[in-house]
Amino acid sequence: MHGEPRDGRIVIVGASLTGLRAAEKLREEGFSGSLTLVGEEPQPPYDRPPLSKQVLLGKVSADHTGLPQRRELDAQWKLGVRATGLDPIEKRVLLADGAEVPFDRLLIATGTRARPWPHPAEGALDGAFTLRTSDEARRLAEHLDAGPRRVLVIGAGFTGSEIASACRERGLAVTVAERGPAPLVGALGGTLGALAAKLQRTHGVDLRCGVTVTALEGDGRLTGA
Amino acid sequence: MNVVVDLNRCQGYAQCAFLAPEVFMMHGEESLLYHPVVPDGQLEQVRRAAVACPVQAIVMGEEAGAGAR
Repeated sequence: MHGEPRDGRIVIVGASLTGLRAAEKLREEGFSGSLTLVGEEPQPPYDRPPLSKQVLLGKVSADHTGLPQRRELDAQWKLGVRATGLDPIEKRVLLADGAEVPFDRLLIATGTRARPWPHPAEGALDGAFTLRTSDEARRLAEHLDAGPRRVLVIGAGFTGSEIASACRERGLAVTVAERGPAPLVGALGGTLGALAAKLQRTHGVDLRCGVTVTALEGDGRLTGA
Repeated sequence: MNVVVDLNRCQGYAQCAFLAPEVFMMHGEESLLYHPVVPDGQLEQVRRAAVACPVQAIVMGEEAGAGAR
């Protein structure tokens, strides 16, 4: 914190990995003022990578991936409330419950969200999931426990590929629909993408590349696509 | 107590799986699975695993924001 004031009020919007580590770093570097973390989810900071791995394999509960802290924070936590706006003139964060949180300095660490299915009614079908939060991971794991006839994974990026892998490991039939020429092409390029395709098919994934899913079908419950 | 592994750093040396097999387990040939919540009887084993990791990929500590629920 060279040359920066060590007191005053810092508000961090986003109470997951980034918010947590930023708060720890501030204290480590000598910030002694007021620290507030605002998080949309009700859970304290938790680790997301296990949600598509050991949680879907049924080895760890979705509620048990809390992150360790590196030090005491002496921070105020406002969890389970979404930040809905920012007043940069008056320097206030506006919350969904109507509260306003004043700050001297602000860190926005809200992260990303899973891209929702473009047709909300279809995306709301029972059995259709995105995977980003521990709540979604818990529900998805429960659905996998019930032994679905077939799982369709739309998108063969890292998350989709890991979900497909967990399904195969659980002995579930899985079809992966990927728009691109191979899995993981965006992240790893064509050569490794082709290798990933081979790996998935060797393990029994029904992989379909160059395919775009246009609609989900069902009546309350998902039945096809 | 909770534990997290930086999977970008992890190279599969598996010292953790050797020292604390109830918490860390190799999955296939290269990847690591672990239990983020450390069982009470495994604290010392996990501490040793964290020290022994050649790439220092393991962080152990009190559950963050535990008082915040």
